[in-house]
Amino acid sequence: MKTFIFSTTLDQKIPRSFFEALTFAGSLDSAEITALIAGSLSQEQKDYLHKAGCGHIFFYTQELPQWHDPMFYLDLVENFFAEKGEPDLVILGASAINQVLAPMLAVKLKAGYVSRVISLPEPQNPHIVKRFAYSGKIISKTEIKTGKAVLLLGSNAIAPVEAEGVKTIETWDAKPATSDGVEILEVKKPETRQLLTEARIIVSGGRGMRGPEYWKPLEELAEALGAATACSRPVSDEGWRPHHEHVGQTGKVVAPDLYIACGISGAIQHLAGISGSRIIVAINKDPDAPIFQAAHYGIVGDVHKILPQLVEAARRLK
Amino acid sequence: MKIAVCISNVPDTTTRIKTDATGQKIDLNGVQWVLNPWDELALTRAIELKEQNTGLVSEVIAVMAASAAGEATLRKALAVGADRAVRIDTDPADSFEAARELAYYFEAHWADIIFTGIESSDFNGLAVGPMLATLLKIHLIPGVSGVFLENGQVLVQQEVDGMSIRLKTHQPVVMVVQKGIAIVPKIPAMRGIMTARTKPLEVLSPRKEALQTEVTAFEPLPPKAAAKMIDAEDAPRLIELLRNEAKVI
Ligand SMILES: Cc1cc2nc3c(=O)[nH]c(=O)nc-3n(C[C@H](O)[C@H](O)[C@H](O)COP(=O)(O)OP(=O)(O)OC[C@H]3O[C@@H](n4cnc5c(N)ncnc54)[C@H](O)[C@@H]3O)c2cc1C
Ligand SMILES: Nc1ncnc2c1ncn2[C@@H]1O[C@H](COP(=O)(O)O)[C@@H](O)[C@H]1O
Repeated sequence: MKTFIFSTTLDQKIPRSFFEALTFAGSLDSAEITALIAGSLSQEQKDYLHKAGCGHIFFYTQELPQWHDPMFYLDLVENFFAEKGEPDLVILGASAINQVLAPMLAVKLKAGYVSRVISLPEPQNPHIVKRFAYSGKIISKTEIKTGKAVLLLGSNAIAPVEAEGVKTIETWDAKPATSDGVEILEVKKPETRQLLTEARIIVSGGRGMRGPEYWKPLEELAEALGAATACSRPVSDEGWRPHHEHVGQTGKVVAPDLYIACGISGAIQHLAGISGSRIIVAINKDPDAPIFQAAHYGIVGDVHKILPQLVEAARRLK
Repeated sequence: MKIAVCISNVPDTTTRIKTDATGQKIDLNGVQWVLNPWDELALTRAIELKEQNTGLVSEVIAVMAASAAGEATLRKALAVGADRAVRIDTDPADSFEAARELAYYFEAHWADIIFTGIESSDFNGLAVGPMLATLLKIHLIPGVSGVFLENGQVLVQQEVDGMSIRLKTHQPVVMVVQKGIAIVPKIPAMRGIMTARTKPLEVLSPRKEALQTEVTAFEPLPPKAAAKMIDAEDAPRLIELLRNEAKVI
């Protein structure tokens, strides 16, 4: 089964989502894996790929569009298929580009499409997969009825393992047609970025934090744990925190190993964004807050008193 | 300029989701249906654009693939301010079926801007917008957090991975809208509710082609044990448990 994996690099690094896709593909006996990675990459990351990758890996190292241009990536991948042959199975990790590219590729390949796949396939059959539906409230088992399949993995749904089966690593630099129809007027890049969807640990604050001036201990805890920071919707609506931190049904859907909710009540729309998390911790002064129903660990108390103690304990870990 | 908004009819988020006796279908009895939250915001922005650019935006059209159960939601879209509505009479089995039915409609009835939401809160497919653009062979702009009409040109704000980009786009175009497109959903005014009854709501037959995917079963979420509670006086123990018991830090 010809299996294709695609990823862009992010700040010279291969995102974790790529290794999740590789692990998924590597778990299938019959997969002949070909992967395409677009974007520049540090030498250290290339070396790591030699050690931990598998299959045939190609790099596309030419310049990528400045904006999030799905037509460009579709074109790039189609050119790749034209040269290397069409795959039977496409497995994409949950990056922002893949999220859009995956359904487009499914149409082009006339392949059945399933998004947000949450577990390794039934024994060796990637055409029967599990996913969340109804905003994380139920799991659906979906069968793909076409010969070809495109799967978009849920973020952090599969623990990547190092593979050690690299056959070839080479550069593939055919020139893709750029897409027209759009003129870029302005590009603003953040100075630093830790994507919520890639983060293993997230420390998140709600209205119980009381105001933006009280965020310091939360940020300190995040720093001590190497975590990203997030927030509930009212917090970003109020402008206490930037919009890209907003988690939930109308924000980002995250699935870290650890989600620490500070002063968040746990409304259903918030839970819709975090229910795939492995461990949820709730800190809330109200013992009846619904967040405790979703949590694995809980502390009832004043977040302003508790956070500094956690910061101190977390710093001692090192 | 015509603006179309693809509207998904979904259970209200607070609905408890359970399966029927077969375990293969969701029990929809007593479900409160609403406009998918993203689509509600897209519709709000489409109507704002029409109100602020009279003459330029000629029409806002709400399009839905759903059985008759979706009609009330489409009427709400009309009450909010859409000029007319189209219902393709089928409950799609997956995002592809929805996209394909919508594509057949738009091939015959072009719109200059087609809005879709980032995801429906029932399927959570993340797919209809990108699939629709690919089927129609037109441009796609994902991650749209703002749309503006200036001197007859369409300006778009895109926010992805912490990047913020301003673009000028040609039409026709499919835009996948996300947070920021509108802040507060427009709610129907009394006059809107009255006029909604007389606005056109066209029902079309679906093409109904072979399915690509099928849900064969639903499973409840794995049961979760009650949270382990840690005394507030002993908060640092949480860090120790996270390291030694949960092994996540
Ligand atoms: C269509 C729709 C979509 C939505 N989408 C989202 C979404 O994507 N994400 C989202 O988050 N919300 C969303 N919401 C809003 C959601 O319903 C809740 O209103 C929101 O999540 C509440 O945020 P919160 O928990 O920060 O605030 P609150 O509900 O006000 O909760 C604050 C909590 O802090 C606790 N607290 C107060 N002081 C302290 C203290 N000193 N120490 C410890 N705890 C304290 C309180 O006990 C309370 O539980 C949506 C709503 C709708 C209708
Ligand atoms: N049955 C449908 N009819 C019309 N639009 C739909 C339908 N299903 C999904 N959409 C649109 O596609 C978006 C994404 O849906 P999904 O791909 O199912 O997550 C929604 O926000 C709607 O704008």
